[in-house]
Amino acid sequence: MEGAMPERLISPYTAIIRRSANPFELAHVLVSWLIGAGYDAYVVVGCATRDVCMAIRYRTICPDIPDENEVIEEPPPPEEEPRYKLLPLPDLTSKYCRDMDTKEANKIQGEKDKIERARQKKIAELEKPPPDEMDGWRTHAWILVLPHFMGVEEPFFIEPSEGNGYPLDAKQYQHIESVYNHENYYVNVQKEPEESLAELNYDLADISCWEHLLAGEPFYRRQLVGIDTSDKRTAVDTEKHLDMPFSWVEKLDITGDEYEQRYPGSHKVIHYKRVLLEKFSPYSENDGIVKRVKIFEDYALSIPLITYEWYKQREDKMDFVRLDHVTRQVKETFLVGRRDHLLKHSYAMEAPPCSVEGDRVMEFNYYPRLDHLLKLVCTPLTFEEHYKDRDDRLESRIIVYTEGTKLEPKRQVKDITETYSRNYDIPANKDIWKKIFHIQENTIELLYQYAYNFVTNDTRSFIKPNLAETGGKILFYPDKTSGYIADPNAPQPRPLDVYYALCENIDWEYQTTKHIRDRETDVNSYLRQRHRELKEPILYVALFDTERNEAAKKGWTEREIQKAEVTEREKEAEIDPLAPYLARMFGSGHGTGSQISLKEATLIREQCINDFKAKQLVRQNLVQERFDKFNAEYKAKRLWYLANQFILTPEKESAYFATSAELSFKVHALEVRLTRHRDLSGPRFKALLDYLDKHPLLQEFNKATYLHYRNERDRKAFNF
Amino acid sequence: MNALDQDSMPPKRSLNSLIIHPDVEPGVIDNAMLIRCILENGPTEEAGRLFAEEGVHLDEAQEVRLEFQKILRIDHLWMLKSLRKLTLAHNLIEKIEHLELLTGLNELDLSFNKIEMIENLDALVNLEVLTLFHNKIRKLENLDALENLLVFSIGDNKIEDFKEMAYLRRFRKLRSVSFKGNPCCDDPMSYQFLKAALSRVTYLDYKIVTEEERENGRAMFRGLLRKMDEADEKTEQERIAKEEYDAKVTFYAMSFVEYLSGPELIETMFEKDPDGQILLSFGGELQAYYDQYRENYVETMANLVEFAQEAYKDRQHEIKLFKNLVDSALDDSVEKSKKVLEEFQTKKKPIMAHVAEISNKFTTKQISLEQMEPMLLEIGESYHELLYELWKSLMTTEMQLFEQCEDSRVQFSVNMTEMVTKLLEVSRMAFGSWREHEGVWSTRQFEVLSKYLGNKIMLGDASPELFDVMMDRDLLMNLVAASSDTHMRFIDAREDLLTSRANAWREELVQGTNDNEIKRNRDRILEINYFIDNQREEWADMHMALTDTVDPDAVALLGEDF
Repeated sequence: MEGAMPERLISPYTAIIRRSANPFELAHVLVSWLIGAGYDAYVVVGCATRDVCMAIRYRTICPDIPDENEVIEEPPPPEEEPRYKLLPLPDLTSKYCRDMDTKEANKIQGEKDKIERARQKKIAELEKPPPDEMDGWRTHAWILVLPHFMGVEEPFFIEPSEGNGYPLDAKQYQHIESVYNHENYYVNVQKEPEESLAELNYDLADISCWEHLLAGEPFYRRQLVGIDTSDKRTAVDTEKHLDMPFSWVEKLDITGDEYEQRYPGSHKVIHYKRVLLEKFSPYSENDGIVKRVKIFEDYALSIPLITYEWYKQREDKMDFVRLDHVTRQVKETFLVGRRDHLLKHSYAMEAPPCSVEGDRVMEFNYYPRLDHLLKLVCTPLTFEEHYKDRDDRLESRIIVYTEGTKLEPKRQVKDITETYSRNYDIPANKDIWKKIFHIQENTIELLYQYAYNFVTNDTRSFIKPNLAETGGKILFYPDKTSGYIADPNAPQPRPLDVYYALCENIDWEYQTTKHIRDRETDVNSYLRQRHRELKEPILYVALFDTERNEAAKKGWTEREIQKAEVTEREKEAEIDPLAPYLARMFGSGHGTGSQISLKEATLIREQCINDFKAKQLVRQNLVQERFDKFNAEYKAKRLWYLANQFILTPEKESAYFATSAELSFKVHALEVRLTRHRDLSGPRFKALLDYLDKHPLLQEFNKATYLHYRNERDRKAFNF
Repeated sequence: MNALDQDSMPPKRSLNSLIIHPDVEPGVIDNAMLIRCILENGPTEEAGRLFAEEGVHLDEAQEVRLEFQKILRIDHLWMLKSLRKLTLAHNLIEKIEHLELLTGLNELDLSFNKIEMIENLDALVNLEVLTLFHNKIRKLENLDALENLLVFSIGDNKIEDFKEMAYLRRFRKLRSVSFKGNPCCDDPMSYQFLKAALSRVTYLDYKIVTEEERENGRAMFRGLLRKMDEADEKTEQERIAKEEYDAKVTFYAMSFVEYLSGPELIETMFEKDPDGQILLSFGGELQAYYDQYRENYVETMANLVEFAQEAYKDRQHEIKLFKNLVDSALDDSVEKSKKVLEEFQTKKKPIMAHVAEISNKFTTKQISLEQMEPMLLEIGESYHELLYELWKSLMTTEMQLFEQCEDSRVQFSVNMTEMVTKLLEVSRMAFGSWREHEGVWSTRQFEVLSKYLGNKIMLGDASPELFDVMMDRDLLMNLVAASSDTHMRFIDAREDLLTSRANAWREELVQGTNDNEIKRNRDRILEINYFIDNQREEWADMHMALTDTVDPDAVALLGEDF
């Protein structure tokens, strides 16, 4: 079926729903999206190689293999030519010998290169696809993107089955028959290219190269020459041709959720050359894996070399794992934000999972850690801690152990070496560079920093006194310490200072050994935790993930309901003009409570009506007052103007016009308000009375009035 | 005197001193007292033993406490060069003296003495804590130099007027004052005043001062405080202006053109020239010419100053370039030498292990002394060979460094000389045109004045001196000439100053660079040889210890191997 023209095509919408399609249908989907995004894209119908047509990938190199070569940035060259240069040392080697040596080396290198080239050639020969008798006749559809839109500068192809871009001279595309999109259909009438499709002319407006199915170009490509668009007839004639039919396909839409589930069955496997690429939808696997690249040594995928795995949404922030099956090494990379600030963890597969006594390296994000730990390196017989930017200038602590014996199966600390960075505030001969504790030999060695222009440094070594003999007191014996002073002019150190150094370091040794024990416990517990995280991975749901965040979803719905309730309540509680009077009489909150007595009701009603009347009056008076004032002012101004209009300067005159216009506007506005107030106050009063008559709290009163009124009427009627 | 003191002392205090040091004779501080004091306050136990064994280094003592010693006079303290804290409380001191050399002093406690006057503290610029509790001080004075004063105690003294305490306002860093027990403390106003006036002081009598209390005081002494504030502000402004001016002068001095920007110098020149001043007092036309002269001068010098600034920047850049090169070369060389030494240490290890093995065999009687001797000699030879290689390699590195930098050093000195010469050329031109302006001024001055010579009417309101001069042509000519002469001399002096300073600077820089390099080179060579000798000595010691018998031939052989 691949390589032949399909009998019928499904619509892009169906293709998205089915998540599978032939190259034509895929090209339609992709072109639809590209055009929607503003690109000038076309479906190309033509011929391609068998591997492309049939989506055979096991001869292509996997594009997803991460690049492991570290980028080395070269320091920028100095801006100006150095004015001072060191005198180069005299070169005393023989030029002849050197020439001969390079000659020899070149020869060897050349031979090696030759062998290498031959080998490469052989590999290429073997990897070549088998001969294809239909080559050049297999029909395929792919995508052409033309320049001048969305920053595209050169035309290029996109292969719809994989989504990768290719240059025009890509060998896999052999022949173009036609290109089309929603606006037109162009048939290629150019000569068959000799080398590659890059030789073709991709200017679709050139009729000698591309035959158009429909007359007329799309708007953006139109160049109207010799056509008078202002003339209606010509304009109509210009547009008078067939257009592409409007799309009948359902509007394409892919939700975020659907996009995540884009692989059929949440899982896709692609077989590349010696590589197996697996892709997973997020949350589809228990351990949160989203991508796995497995590199094999052979083409049959039987001997694994390296596995790369990418994870997402893991609670332990594991992001990327590299398993080297040859060296049996695992390297895990984490995102920032872990409790222990671990960034990288590499260990041997065989290392005991929960013990420091295996080969492993842990790198930390030192900055947020209180101890500024940068790196831990464990091997069976050493343990290294590396620090950065510590206040006490400790840079590293390296512990060497002796192997456990039969009597003592646990390894024992042999040496501890601590390295400090230079503190420029104190002289070098007081600034310790290295402290070395030979625990088993019972000695302490101190190396001091190098001073300016010195190539040797001060040293001092102690044999630790036996504290048990002196009852815990540290005594000083000059013969148990020795040292070297680098500066020949410096005085010998004072015994007191040496003694202090000894006391300090005996104490420090104790602290350090304690620290090491703590650290080992820490690392062990950390490793147990890591082991658990690997064994039972937990995935977290992002706070903003509306699909999966169940707790948040629940919260949202609840809030929605609450909101709806509030609006409902607001609707019910209309403004009650009686409320302030009720509140004054019974305290606030008396809204829909019990009935009030007739007397109280009368009182309240009376107050309410009186206040309303008073308010209306006050308002009217206020407006009236303002109106009178402005009106008088306006009139006075006008009189003044009439009297002086011939002696006024133009500035004053224009100022008068400005103020008088403003005043007249104000007067007019007040007048309107006044009339409106007069017109409305009657109906408003009536509305209030109606409201009060129907007010549930004034029921008693209303009833009484009603009775009274009826009685009156009856009486009147009776009287008549 | 002692008896008298005892009698006059309040009973409480005499009891105190009786209990602590009943048998101390009143006297002056002496060496023995200091040593005893330092030993008493020094470390204890094993450290104390070592401390005492070594002997007291007076010049290293940081803290000295001499209390209840009945000291009458302060003396002998100049030996304590690194003293930071001195306590002389509970003595009989009457006068503060002999503290001039203790410039590093940070804390001084003179409480419970008989001091009547604050004096001789000007040298103690680093003093932060000064305690004068319970003395007989009546007035706060002579403390201006103590700019860093942080804590000050003047309690239990004889200060009668609390306004005296306004003196403390000048200490910008002062935070704590104790004042209790002075006669004026009975006046309730005194604390109010203190709280308001000492606005920077946080603690008064060791109690925090609240904003409310301060406000109360302020309300009471508003007028007085305002006056003081104004005065303070004025002095403060003057101080800042002076600091700025000094900073500017030092800044310009780096490019040798101090006082040359602006009309400052020409004004000084006229100030120093009384003849010129008399003539200048003529005013009018002459004043206009003077203004023009001044303008020309300012313009000329502004150009010079600008050029000098540029030249200064260029010189600094040049120095930086050169320094960078030399420093990086030194770093490289040091790294190289360190690597060589490291290699030596790794090579030394197996040799030492071999020696240890042999000595082990010897002690366990597996081999005899005669058998051991040649073995050791053989190892010694290879060890010395190794040492020689080390020496050669280190010395070569150092020599290479020295020679490699030599060329640049010469180039640097040439460049510096060139730059300074260029600056001097420009300055010569500038001063030349100053002289020209001066000449023009002098001529014009004479022209203008001679117009009015002898014109009594026009000179009606002139000063008598000027009038006299204007009446006599010769006198006028002499005066103009004398003024011009003075000016020329002044200009010459300034130019000489610039030239000599610039030259001296260059000389010092170039010479200093060379000297430093030579010293560095010598230090390194000394260090290398010292190290090698040390290694040899170590070997010789070990060898001797092993063989136990001193073989003079062998030692000679080992010592003078090469």
